[in-house]
Amino acid sequence: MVLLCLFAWLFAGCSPRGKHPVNEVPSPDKTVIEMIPAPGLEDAPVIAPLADAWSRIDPKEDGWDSEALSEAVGGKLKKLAGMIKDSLVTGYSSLEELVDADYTASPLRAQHLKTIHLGTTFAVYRGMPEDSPLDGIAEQVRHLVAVFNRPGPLHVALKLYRIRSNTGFVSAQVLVQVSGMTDKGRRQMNSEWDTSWKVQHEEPRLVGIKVLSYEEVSYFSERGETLFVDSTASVLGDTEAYKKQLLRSTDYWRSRTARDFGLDVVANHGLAVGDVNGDGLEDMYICQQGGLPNRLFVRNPDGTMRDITGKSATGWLDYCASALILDFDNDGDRDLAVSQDFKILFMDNLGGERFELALGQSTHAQTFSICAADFDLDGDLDLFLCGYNPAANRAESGALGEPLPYHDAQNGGRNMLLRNDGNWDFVDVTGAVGLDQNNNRFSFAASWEDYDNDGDPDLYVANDYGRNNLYRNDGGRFTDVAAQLGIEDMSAGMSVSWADFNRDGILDLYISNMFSAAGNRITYQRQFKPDAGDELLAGYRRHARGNSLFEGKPGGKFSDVSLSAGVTMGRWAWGSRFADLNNDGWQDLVVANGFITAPDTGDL
Amino acid sequence: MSQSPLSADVSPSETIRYQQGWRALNRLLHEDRSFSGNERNCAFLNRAGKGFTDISAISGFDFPDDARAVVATDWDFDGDLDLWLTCRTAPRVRFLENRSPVIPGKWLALRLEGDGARVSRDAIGARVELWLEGQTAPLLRTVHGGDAFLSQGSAWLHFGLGEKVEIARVVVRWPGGGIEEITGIEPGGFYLVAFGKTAAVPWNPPSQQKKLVAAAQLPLPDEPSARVVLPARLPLPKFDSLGELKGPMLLNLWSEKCLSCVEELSRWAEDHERLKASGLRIFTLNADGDPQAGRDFPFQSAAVGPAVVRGLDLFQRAILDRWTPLPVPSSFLIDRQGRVAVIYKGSVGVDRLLQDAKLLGLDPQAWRRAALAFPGRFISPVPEPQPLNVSSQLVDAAQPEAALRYLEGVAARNPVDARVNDVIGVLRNELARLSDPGKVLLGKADALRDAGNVRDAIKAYQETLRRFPKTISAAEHLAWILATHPDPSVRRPAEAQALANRLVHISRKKNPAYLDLLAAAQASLGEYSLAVRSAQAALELLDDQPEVKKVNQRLDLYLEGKAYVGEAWREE
Repeated sequence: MVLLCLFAWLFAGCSPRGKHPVNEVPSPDKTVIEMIPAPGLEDAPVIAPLADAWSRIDPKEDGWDSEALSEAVGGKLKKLAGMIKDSLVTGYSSLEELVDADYTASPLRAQHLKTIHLGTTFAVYRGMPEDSPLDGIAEQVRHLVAVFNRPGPLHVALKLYRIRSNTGFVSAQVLVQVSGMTDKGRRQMNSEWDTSWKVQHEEPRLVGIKVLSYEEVSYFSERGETLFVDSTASVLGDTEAYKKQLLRSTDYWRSRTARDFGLDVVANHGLAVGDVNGDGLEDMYICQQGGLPNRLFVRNPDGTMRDITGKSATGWLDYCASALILDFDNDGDRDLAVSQDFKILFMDNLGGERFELALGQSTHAQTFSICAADFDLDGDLDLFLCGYNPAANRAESGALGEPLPYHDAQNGGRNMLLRNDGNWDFVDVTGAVGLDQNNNRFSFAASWEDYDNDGDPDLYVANDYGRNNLYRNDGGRFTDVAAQLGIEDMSAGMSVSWADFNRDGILDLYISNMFSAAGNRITYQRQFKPDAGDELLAGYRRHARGNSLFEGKPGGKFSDVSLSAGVTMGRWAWGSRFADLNNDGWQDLVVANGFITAPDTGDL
Repeated sequence: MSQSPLSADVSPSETIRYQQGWRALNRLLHEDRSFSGNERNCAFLNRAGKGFTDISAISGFDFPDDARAVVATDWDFDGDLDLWLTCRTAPRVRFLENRSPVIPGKWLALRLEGDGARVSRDAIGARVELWLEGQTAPLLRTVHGGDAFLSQGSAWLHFGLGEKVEIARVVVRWPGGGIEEITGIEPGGFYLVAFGKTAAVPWNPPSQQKKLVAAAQLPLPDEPSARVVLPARLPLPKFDSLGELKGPMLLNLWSEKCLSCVEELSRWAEDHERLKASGLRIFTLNADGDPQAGRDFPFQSAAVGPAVVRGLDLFQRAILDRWTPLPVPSSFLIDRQGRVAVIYKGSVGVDRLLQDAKLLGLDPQAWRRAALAFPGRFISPVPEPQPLNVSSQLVDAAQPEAALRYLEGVAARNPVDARVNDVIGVLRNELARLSDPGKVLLGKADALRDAGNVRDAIKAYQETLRRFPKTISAAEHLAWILATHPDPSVRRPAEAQALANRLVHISRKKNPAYLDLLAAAQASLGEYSLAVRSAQAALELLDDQPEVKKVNQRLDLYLEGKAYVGEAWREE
């Protein structure tokens, strides 16, 4: 099919590729000999239909005013963020260049703050800035950053998420985050601004900022430190694999390892923590791209790690997404399960830091997360595998798959449940136990949890490009109840974590999706999919909303509290989980995010 | 993505348009385009169950990585949760040490163990209820065997306890194994809890901990030069100006504008006796197109233009997942069978060359192992060569003829690869169509028809027939629409019959498809007995089962005195 459509575009003619200049070979370090692209590559042609398709995924070339405007306004906001960031050092005078002659200034920071949360490590305050005039943007910014009364760098992030325009005027809503140091530790402002701009000759100038919400949070630290610091080198720094493999980016390896080895740009590679040598200390297995061996690091008593990949024979060079360190044969030591693209590998722990391949089984789909549970309560661990791309189309569809339709794809790979029958015999019981219901999605992640407290583990599956599943386990038979419970969360699901965030004794559910600023801007435009009905449009908006939090309610019900709880903005989120970061007894959230960072400027 | 079809049930043209978008998006990702990049990780503080507050910046968690998996574990046993992350960008792993001021007694960590009979050794699924004095609901933690995204976190169940608390009781719900109340637990420590035993056992972490030092990780700078070994070797596209490229040979692309090119050639020249003795032939290609260039070096040389440079560039893109322009110098190590075994982007030394040339004769398994920088093991077999990656690059670069020629060359060596033969067939057909202007017009008319724009399609078919009367498929497609379109205002049965009659005549009544069409046109005119006769004549000529079924269905309609109205004209 892909090949056919390839030829379908080919014959509309050819055109020069002027708009997409050949990328420079990146060379961030001047000591590296710079290489130039070979002469003759400067204006290589590309077939017209491909150029057309490119332009269609770049929304501002799709005739959508908002994207062109948001690029212009976004550029100004970037400047503004830089000026606020530097203001404690360079002063405030340059700010004037961003504003119109009619600019009216009022406070951006609330003078009277109400403490809404007070703990020993964090305090949260809210208020609204007074509506009193200030003398220009310079005074306004000086007033804003005055709270940072301890020398140190400011961090400023302004993210444009919605834009409306009306002849010559633009209104743009912006998420604002400003943080820095105070005499008590660190402080962060979280605010939303409605910014107004006058546009003349395609040049936006700020005419006013209206504060829509305002919150500050303090982290009490006498040393002025952040809660987390990067101490990786203390733990891993002495290992060769860290220095030679892990300090290199995926893109570095992608530019020197043949793609036949199994590499892709998305680079979804995970890790497992578990004690493999029975010394009571947890070790770590890290998965890598094809061509790079997975690593098994064993924790030394002093907290550093040593690499036993070679000795343990666990250095798989194939593309591996995830792994588990668990005792699958109940013999008292922990074994290894590795999801290797279209296979699942079980490695038996032989003791003495040695492993042996006990079972390799085909999975019929590109396998991402795997998770174990004793679903049939017979005392051994069974394994669920998330299938993303069906094997048959992976080679042609690329790393993203080819979801159809995008927002509710039903052409994904098949998930599998392997029942542990002992002696390294794992049987595919997916269909037999009812897990073939809605088993046609692009599954990224899953988590077992007995949400209905009936003694057997249930299973939530987060799927990319559409609806998720909650398979309720009733004595070893599963039923997908996600739709019935209103937690299909039709979006780009990538991670799932269970916890009781509000301590009512009922488990809640947090799911990673994408918060797409561009998606938010575009789906609120009138031009967006004029043929689409209201319901579908709402679906598309929902798709770009971000992460979801479903509060568990009595009777096995759920309530969507994502927006009121303030946890949607996890950006392009991948792994996310609950963790009590400050030991106050309440489970906080961490969200790992970011899709593809490349040296180019124009972010899609 | 904005262009996705609204439901899975969409017309082929809309699907194709959508797939084009995906393909283009995939292409951008191959070509180093940023996409939701430079995003900072997020952290949210739980305000005692009353909602969350963004603490991304002040938590220090907001690295601008392309982060993937995240797990929590008290790595340094100081009573708070540290984090491990994997990333797409460098550094690809981070250990984030939690520096929050830990107050003794504000936390608790439990590790559960099953008996390996009723409860799995790792006690996956076991849930701890930690009841604090004066609380109406317990703190809950479950032992997970992998959750979140691509990750397995620590087996220790970590509890933050907050201020001034006392533990009322600790209850474990074992999966399938009942409920036990555990004794002997005080805040501020690590405890082991075993299935079947009610008393928890204190656990002491190792006392000697190396001091953790916070330090920015400094990723190594990117290196534009690379040695790319092909585990499955492929021939280069054929360049007429260069003749047969058989090895052992090193094909070098260079430019006088590039200092390292000249340096490289000079170094090789100094060592050219050793190179010669090894049997490795060196062939330098000057990308500036200057025939005089390279004369000073003791190697075979030629001047090449953009066509060769682009061909080499597209070839290296077919080999790698990351598509960046081929730099100068670049070299291609070619084996005796004329297949590229190694690509060197940037300079390469003589020692390396000689070493690689010596390895050319290794068996595929050994060659694959030699290809990689680090030892390890494979579960997958040695990959098959992927010539379609090369032809696909050529097609995207508007060189379908070169793509066809490349695949024909591959097929001549290895005629059994069915996928290659399929694509050769498609390419030949499409190129033949391209060379026939009537078929190009026909293709446009068909596209209009498939997009549902039937009135414009009719005009386009008529235009095709007027300008290229031999494009008889245009007559056939047009006649089907005019005879059977569901919209009566589109149907013009008399015209359809005239066209069909002509097709039947041209084919001397030997083509069942035209007879089937004629029958449909006749029925559309109300001439059912004629239609029956034509359909029967078609059936006599048919031996292809699916067609027989369709014609029979239509025949049944004619026998009942009904015309066929439907979608037959959509089928190809």
